Amino acid sequence: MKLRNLTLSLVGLSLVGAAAGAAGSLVTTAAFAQAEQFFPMLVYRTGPYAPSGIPVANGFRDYYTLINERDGGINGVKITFEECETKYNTKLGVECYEKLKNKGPTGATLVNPFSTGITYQLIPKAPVDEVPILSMGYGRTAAADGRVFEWIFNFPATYWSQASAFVRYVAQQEGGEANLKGKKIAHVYHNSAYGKEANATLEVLAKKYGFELTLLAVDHPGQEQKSTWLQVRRLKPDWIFMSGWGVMNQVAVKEAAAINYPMDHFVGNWWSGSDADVIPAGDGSIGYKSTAFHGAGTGWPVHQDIIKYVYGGDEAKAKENNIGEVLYNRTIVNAMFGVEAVRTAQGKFGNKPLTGKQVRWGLENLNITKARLKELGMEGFMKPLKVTCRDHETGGSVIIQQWDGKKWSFSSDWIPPISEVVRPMIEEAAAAYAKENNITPRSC
Amino acid sequence: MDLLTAVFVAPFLDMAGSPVFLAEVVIVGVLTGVMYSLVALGFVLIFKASGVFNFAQGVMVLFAALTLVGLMERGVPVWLAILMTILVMIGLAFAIERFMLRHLVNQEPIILFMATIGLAFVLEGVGETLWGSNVKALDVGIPNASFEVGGILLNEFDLFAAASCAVLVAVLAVFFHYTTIGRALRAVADDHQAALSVGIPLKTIWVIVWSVAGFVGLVAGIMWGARSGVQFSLSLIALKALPVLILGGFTSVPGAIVGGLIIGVGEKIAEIYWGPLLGGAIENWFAYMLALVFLVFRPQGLFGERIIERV
Amino acid sequence: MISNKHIGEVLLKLEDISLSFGGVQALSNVSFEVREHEILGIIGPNGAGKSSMLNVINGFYHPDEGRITYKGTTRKDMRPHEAARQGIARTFQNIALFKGMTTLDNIMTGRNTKMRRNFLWQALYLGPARKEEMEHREAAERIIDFLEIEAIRKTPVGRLPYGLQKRVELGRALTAEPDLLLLDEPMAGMNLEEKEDMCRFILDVNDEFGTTIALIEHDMGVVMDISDRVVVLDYGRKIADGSPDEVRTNQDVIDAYLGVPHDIPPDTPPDDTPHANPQP
Repeated sequence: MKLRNLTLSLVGLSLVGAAAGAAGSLVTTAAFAQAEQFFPMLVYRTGPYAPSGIPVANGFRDYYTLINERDGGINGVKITFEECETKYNTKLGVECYEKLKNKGPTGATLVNPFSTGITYQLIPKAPVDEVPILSMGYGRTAAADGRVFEWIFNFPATYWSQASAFVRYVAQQEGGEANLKGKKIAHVYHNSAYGKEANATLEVLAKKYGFELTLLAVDHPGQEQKSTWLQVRRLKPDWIFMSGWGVMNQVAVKEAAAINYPMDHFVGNWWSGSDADVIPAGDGSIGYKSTAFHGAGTGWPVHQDIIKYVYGGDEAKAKENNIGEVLYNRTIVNAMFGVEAVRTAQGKFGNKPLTGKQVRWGLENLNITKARLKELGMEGFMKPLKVTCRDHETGGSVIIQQWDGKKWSFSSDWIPPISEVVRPMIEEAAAAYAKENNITPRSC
Repeated sequence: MDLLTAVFVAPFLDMAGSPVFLAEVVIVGVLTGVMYSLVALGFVLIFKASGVFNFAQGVMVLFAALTLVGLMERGVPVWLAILMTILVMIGLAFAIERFMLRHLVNQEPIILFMATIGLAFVLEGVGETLWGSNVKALDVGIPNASFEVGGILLNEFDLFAAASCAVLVAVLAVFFHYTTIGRALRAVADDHQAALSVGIPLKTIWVIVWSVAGFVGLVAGIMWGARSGVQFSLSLIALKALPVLILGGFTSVPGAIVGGLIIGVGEKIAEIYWGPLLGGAIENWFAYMLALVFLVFRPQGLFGERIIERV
Repeated sequence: MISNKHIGEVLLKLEDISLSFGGVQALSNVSFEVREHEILGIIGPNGAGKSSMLNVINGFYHPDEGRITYKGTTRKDMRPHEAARQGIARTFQNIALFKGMTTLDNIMTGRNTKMRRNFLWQALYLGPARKEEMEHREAAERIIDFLEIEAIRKTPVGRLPYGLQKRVELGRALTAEPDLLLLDEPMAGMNLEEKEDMCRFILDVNDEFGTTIALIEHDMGVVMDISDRVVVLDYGRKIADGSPDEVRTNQDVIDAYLGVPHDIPPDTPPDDTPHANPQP
């Protein structure tokens, strides 16, 4: 009880610290110096991307706190964590990483950069520092090839898989792959390395299935997109796929509604489908879809546990802290992966604080079964997955969620990627990276 | 040869091929341009009165919009929230004069500029602390339906926004050119010391001009915030005002308007007809390029005041 | 107009004024008076503290010590816009006009202290404010006629030749209908003809409007010709105070000032920094 109060007050303090714009950082439960597993947190509670960064940071914090409060840690090993403010800035992110990588009795467990830019910077550092990176659904797609990228994990899906799953979804909606021929599909993308990720995949698939692909770039930050949507108006595409981020998403949804584009044919990627993305457009956003790899809302036992153990039953307070929002739920998944990787590694190395190297083994042998998901209170929340040495992406399936004006809900089944196209592209890119950096791929 | 055709022939054939669409592009360009003018106007006001480029203008837009949304979220009716926000912006103007400008009278413009950078960070921090960083929907009851006229799609909100900007701009232009206070503002902008010597109260002028800039910021915040939701990125629309300022001159209200229109229409046409040639998303740098080309021929901006220095 | 040429009561009294910048003593214990309707010349070699003296009077500089009594009220220092409101107008050694504005607009700013309607009214530009604006406009036109600058009414002053700019600046100060007019080297940089014109205007102003004038001038001939009384400063101290004839024969003055060649080129750098920070 006393401990929870302490944690809650620290949570409150960290909120105040973050709100004040300080790159403040706090370590919880510092008293248990021995049996502690340290998780660094690269967060962005301030700056232009704070609307996305806040639910993400809260999700990590709440899940770690839940494990400590409900289970007394991971098999008795308490979780400690510390936030470091990156403002979504790559340089600050790397500084945060350097600052946190050696904290805790065994150093950083693993790092979740939550930024493609930061991930790229950390990829070469990971094997040197022996800190595994879990860039869940972002970062370098080629890292899905575990033979080359021993220390990098990007399960449960990559941008390329996602783009191909979108095409598969369109085929399903249009009544079969044959009907893709002659269809017009536009990709509205953030004019950055991240936004361009899906282009190559879409181009290959356009050739394969004979649909007409138009690429429409939107410059950062994307507050003014009139010309993009004029082009859409002229083109009248049958489907639009969007790789947006931040304010670009909100404006795009609003503009699409303003030109009366049928919203149920407008599909965002999983960074373009959060609550904040659709709320400003009001009723105009009803029907808008996005890909996802987990559920939205608070309808799972894990959420009830968070409300009970982290917020002392105060549901309103939990809501204030973004519980159930898409990005919050995404980080619940992300934090769970980290915790379960530690748990898996403990099975081999013992119930004690583990090093990054040991956790890497845990990540590579992670097997989240359906039964395990049920135990975690996440049954139906996400798809089971099994990581292997070769495949750091696992299945790559996505699910389509749709906004009804109040909440997101699933509107499709799980859609597997077009692996026969995507996997060879990934392996080719990984091989090129290996050659460039003189890495000898592991054989597995 | 193909390239020449693609650059010099095809886009024009495209325009001629569908004049209705071209008309729509131009109209959208004009409507967008007016929105740029609105943002640029805030800069012009302060530059005119204090000769300083107000780095914090974008953040003032954000701050005004945040305050408005914050009040509305707490159940204050729209009209009252707008009124209260105006009061807050006036209060802010008083605070800026009292704690910042007063101590920097007659300093080099660069010092004042640095001070506004500081101001931007302070406002950002205060705004985030007071109202949080989440994206907030802003709905002040402006209609948002789209309708088609002769094949051209128009949006009520865009029209409303453009109309309000036009009115605001007209009022400000009159204010600057035909009233005593406008003259006093220009006098202060020109020479602090001389203005003091003829009895113009610097403090009052600064409070007025920062209040007006705050008000213009609020209007810009409402118009832009209603599109994207009120969030931190709102402060970045200042970036869209820069080419307009370069083109229109920092001291000219009409310049801000005409500059906004030229940039708005120019970048839309460039993006739609020439953008695909270059892989898209050319409009941002195109706006700057357009402004710089103008700058070569008219260094003082479109309507900037020409000053011949004695050599 | 009737001639007002009779020296009246004390308008401005300065007592023991001391002013320093950092370690440099610009003025030490300077006291003198300015009487109604007189033309007072303030002279002295470069660095004597003449411009500092004017800046103290209109409130740009705040003296470290001393008292200023203006129109019967004694205070430690003046504030610039307050001084303007109390009827003190001035020109500057190196012209401080609003260069982007037209001659007319520049002169109109001189009416600022006479504006009765508050800023809100003016902002709205409603009936009464509009009527008032017309009145001020007439006043400005009278000054424009008086200074014979009708032709350049609508010209931005930045484009005017130097001599005309000086005249516009005088016009701006005059439009305020000042009780005390401070002129900082009104003839600096002018050719002979322009100087004669300026002398004539100064004398006419004094004569027709009865305006009290305190002026700084390098050109000794001019000062001695037009001043009723002359105060001489040297190294921040007052060394003489009297009629031109008395001053001309004062031995201290001869030693300090007349002893040195005074055909100083017109574009001499200012004897103190005129744009140092004023305190509003």
